[in-house]
Amino acid sequence: MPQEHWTENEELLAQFVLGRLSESQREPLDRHLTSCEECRQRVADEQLLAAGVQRAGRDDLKARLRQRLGMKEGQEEAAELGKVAAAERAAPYGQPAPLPQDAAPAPLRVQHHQRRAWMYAAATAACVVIIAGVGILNRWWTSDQIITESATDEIAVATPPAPSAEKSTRETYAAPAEQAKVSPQKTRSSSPAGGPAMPSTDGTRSKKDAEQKEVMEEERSISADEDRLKEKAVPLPEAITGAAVADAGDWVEGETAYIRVDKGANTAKNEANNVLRAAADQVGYGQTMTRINATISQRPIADAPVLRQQQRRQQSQTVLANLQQTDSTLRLTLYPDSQLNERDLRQAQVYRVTPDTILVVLPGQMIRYRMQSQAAMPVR
Amino acid sequence: MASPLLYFDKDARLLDRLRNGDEEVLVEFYDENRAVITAYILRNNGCQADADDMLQEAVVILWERVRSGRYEHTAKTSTFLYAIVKNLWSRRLARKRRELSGETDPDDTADPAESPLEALMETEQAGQVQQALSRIGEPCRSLLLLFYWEEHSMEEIAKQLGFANADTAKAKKYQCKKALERALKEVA
Repeated sequence: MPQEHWTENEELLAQFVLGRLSESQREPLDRHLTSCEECRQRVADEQLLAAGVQRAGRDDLKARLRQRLGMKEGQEEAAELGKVAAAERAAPYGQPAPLPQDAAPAPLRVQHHQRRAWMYAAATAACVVIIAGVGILNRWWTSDQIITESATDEIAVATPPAPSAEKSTRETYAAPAEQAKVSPQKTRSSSPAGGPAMPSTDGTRSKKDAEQKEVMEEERSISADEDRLKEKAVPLPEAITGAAVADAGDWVEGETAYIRVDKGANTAKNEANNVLRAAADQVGYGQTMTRINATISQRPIADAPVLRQQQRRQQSQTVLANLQQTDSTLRLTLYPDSQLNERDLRQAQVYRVTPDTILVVLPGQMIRYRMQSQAAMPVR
Repeated sequence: MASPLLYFDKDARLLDRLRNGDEEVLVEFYDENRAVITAYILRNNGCQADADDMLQEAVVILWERVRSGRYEHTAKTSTFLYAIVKNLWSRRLARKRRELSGETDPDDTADPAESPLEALMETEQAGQVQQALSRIGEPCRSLLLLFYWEEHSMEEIAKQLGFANADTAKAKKYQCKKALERALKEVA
């Protein structure tokens, strides 16, 4: 390239207009454009088509979003939402789904009652899970801690060898980020800001103050996040060997997160390092990632015990694994639905994120295993 | 009983759903970021309606980036959305300032930070293309949206729209583009 008039190549023209070409690819094409009026016109026409289609897509999506928000505001029940989803599946691409004919909003009082009941139930369930989780963890980790730096019953988290100034920065960032979860229901139902000041009781005022504080903290967290992104990636702690997790046969199910980061050459090692950096960003800065000496292998899912296969959630984003401790190594056998690339497997690294969580970092993805339920306990 | 495992992080889960085309996730992103965005817009001479509009715009941009594979998950999505809103809002304020000061020259109103396509999107001609697109019917409309807006490959488009292969999709895209050009002439 360029051929006589490269703009006659439809594919190239589209890639050029959509900005998918690199600088070095664009350069000769741009040069050709300076001397070809007809080609410039073709590019301009293609740009207009692309811009118009993109505008249509954007406007349609915004309309659908508003419809969804309106529906939510209108207190639609879950059943009605299900009907909309079904209608939408049948609708052509990009067309707003029609509202179901019988989607009448339920009485407001009933819904508030139902929502509150649901929230109480969820809160109660969360408490039960946390209490059960702490009990299980205590049992699991007191006998088989990966790294124990304290003799107390509490699980000690290894202090990172990072500079103390950096650590304090990371912690100040982490604290508000964890706390500042603003309830969307609260904000949605609150009156629009800028309206006339309404008389309020002390209780509501303090609630508003608390909400305001949460918002400010979240903003501070975001600003800190933005600043941090401008800096280079924080180096991770050195590898710690001699780790031990538990006795033979811990069956766990891990959540997979796929991460595509195009930085540097497209090698497995680079990809794994990119995932590692992304993982470091995501685990939260109050925590450290400690590398565990581990050997990783994989076997077909059909080789896993039938019981474990049956217990497993039928979701594509989970990977069953068996953890076994040897003298100085954690032996991790993955049972993915489809076998992983051997090249990727060779780059796999295992990190302990929290006392109950390990992370398997692979090129392009990571798998998190949490040991907080009965199902994660050793099969005896 | 299987263990109730938690997702690695909420962002990763939501982004995965977004990649799979689940639009309901947009509402979750909207809800989670509304308070922060509102606070920012109100502090910067805007109102609640501006905040809602900006956030909707930002959420849609997030969708575009994720669906076209151009989104890099290197920071929290809230950070991404906040940055987009800041950018959009500063552009809008700058435009308002120019309008108030009577600068109507299009060269002056052009924002150097905008891509050529973004700048074109605001024009009347782009609006005509939008109208023309609504006239050409299916599957052309879907095909062109998938290609130009979501920037899917021909292989992906063939799979989604049920064409035999990428070559068939490519040939169909050519026909659809011609149909759009004809419709545009009628609209204009």
